[in-house]
Amino acid sequence: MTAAPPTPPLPTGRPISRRSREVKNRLFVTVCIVSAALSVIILALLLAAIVYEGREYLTWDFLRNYPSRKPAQAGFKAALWGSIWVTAVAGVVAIPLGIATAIILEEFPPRRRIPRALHWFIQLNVGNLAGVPSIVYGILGLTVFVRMFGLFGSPNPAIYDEMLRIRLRSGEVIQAFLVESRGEDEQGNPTSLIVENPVTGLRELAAAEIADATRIYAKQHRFTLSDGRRVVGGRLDRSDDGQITLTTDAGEHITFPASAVTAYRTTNFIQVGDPDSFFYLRVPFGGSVLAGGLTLALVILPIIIIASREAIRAVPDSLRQGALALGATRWRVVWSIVLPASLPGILTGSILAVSRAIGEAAPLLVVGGVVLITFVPRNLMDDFAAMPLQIFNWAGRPQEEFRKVAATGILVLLAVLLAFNAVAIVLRQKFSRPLQ
Amino acid sequence: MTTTMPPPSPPSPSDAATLRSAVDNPLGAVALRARQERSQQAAAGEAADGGAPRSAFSIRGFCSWYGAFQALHSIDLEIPANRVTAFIGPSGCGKSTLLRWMNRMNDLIPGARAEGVMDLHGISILDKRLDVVDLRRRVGMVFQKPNPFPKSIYDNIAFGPRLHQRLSRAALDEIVERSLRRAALWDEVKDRLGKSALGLSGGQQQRLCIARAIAVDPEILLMDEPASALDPKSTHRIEELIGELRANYTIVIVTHNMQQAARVSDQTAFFYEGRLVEAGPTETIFMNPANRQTEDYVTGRFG
Repeated sequence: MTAAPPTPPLPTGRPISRRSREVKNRLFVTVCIVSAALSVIILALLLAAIVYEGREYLTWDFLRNYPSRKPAQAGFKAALWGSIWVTAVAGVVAIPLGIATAIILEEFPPRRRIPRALHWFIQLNVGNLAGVPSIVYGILGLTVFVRMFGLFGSPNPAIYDEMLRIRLRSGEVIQAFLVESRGEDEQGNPTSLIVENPVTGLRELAAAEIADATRIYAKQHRFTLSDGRRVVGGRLDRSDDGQITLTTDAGEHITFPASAVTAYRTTNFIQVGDPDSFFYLRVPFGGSVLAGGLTLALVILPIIIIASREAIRAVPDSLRQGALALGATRWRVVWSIVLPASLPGILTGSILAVSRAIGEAAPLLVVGGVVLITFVPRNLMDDFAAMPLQIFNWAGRPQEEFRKVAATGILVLLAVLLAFNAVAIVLRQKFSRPLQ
Repeated sequence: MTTTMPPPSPPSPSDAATLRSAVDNPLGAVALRARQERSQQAAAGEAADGGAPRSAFSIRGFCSWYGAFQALHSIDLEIPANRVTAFIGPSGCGKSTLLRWMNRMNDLIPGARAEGVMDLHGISILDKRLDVVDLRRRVGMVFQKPNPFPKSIYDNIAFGPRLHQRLSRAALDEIVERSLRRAALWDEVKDRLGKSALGLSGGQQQRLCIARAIAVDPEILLMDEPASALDPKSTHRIEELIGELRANYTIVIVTHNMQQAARVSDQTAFFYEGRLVEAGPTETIFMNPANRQTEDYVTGRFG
């Protein structure tokens, strides 16, 4: 064997000067500092502008008053409490669901092919759902929670007694409230109907145009009389002499004096309890606290799932193995080892998700948050206002002064958000311990 | 607690008395363990008198796969009770795989499967109906890297017993103390039982893991390179500890450290590429191996 040949020198290129290296380095650092400073400056400017604009109305009265047409008297109470109710519902629903989903996705990956495909599909879609614009959840909430696909009739407290589905001879189908019937032919039937659709407005229909009409739902009047009778009927007529005539669904007319009535209420949905009780529930939910809260829960659910999965994934596998080797079941491993170890991450993620829910306006706009109510919700079925909606409303008013009220509202909203973030930071500090 | 395992020796009247007192004594678990210790010592004494050691595990024609890859080829091996058995061999030779089958930890690995016979005191470990929770209580495991739970020292030890029994505070206290004593850790931690186990040094953590494993009163301890992540001094402590534990437990230890195998084990099994090359008394394997490959490996010529 001959001796190994000397290795040829490595190819060389044009040397990079020290100066050019340093310039590039400095340039990079400068760009980073400038962009970091920019975001801080923008935030500071934003806060300063809002504080300047909103300082005038920032009083305790602002938190104590209900909305008003006069800027000086306008308050945030309904919006603040409405937001608290809706966000609490969202958190109570979404946090346990999100954590449970994260556990099943991370800790119990299926082995067989079809469940595995399903698992993969769910994982993929959780990521997709997190990217869906929140207004889309608003539409979903409107269909599913507010209206419940129309399965139970209209969710809104009926302004009119009857809603009709009318088929015209032209083939057109109208869904509208009956406002008034006019005229009378020989058989006593009306010659025309005035109906109102909330979207298309009033319309008069001649009897000759109508092929048929079905009643979708009717308001029900429930009377309890002094002799103990209960009377339920769909149409109510009061005469001037104090007599009430109620027409039952079977077409029977019952007449009784108004003085005999000991209790009265109207319903147009399935319900549990009555509107004054704290447990009042009705189906469909309508534009209620519950519908708003569930819709926000949909918005934040993917965020909670993703944050919880990350936290669970960060728990070292060696801990799971250690517990399993002692004879722990999978459930015990999750409950006693994985959850305690991942709690800081899960809590932080959940709180940030909830603070996102507080700031959401779009889905509530669709679901039916109101801006001019003068009460705090008493139960899950009450109407609600919400801080972002109220701010949006104020900012859009023509009077200049309301711009300032809106800025004050923003200050309160920001204070609530910062408080939530502070809690998240404290929790993380408190619970986080090094794992290995 | 011991109802599912075959008694190591026919119960003597005094055993029956202990058993009875265990039933109505809140310290039942402790008493039962004491009984078991005595019988195990008796078994060890029997063996020293010249009787053949009982087998804890009987492995015959055992094959194992990860997906399509065959990790173990037809292993035949007896693991004697109350002895230390060392598995040696280069990385990837299958020794850890075999160890992890012994308490079915391989169940966790998708695609892992095994065929052949692996019996623990006559009970088939591969049986699908086997209660793995009970198996893992009887066959404890210590891992390569110390893995204390992020809990207090006390809760680390109490975790296992709490899984399997409802215990009074006093009984639990006693189990914790005795487990820590047996793992030679009590004196170092007795004043800070409520403190996080993560504050211990690596060697202390590993002894804590051993204490945690013996707190559920296993018959067998599997150790997967228990000292490989530790410094020489801690390694020495662990080896000493193994020496102390051999009287009461059947120990199987996987190690890359030849001296360690020679120091701590009674029997050694040499694996190479998924096959058991040679097994026998440690002295024979190291001083007078029958197989050329074994000799090359233990003398450090390869691996």
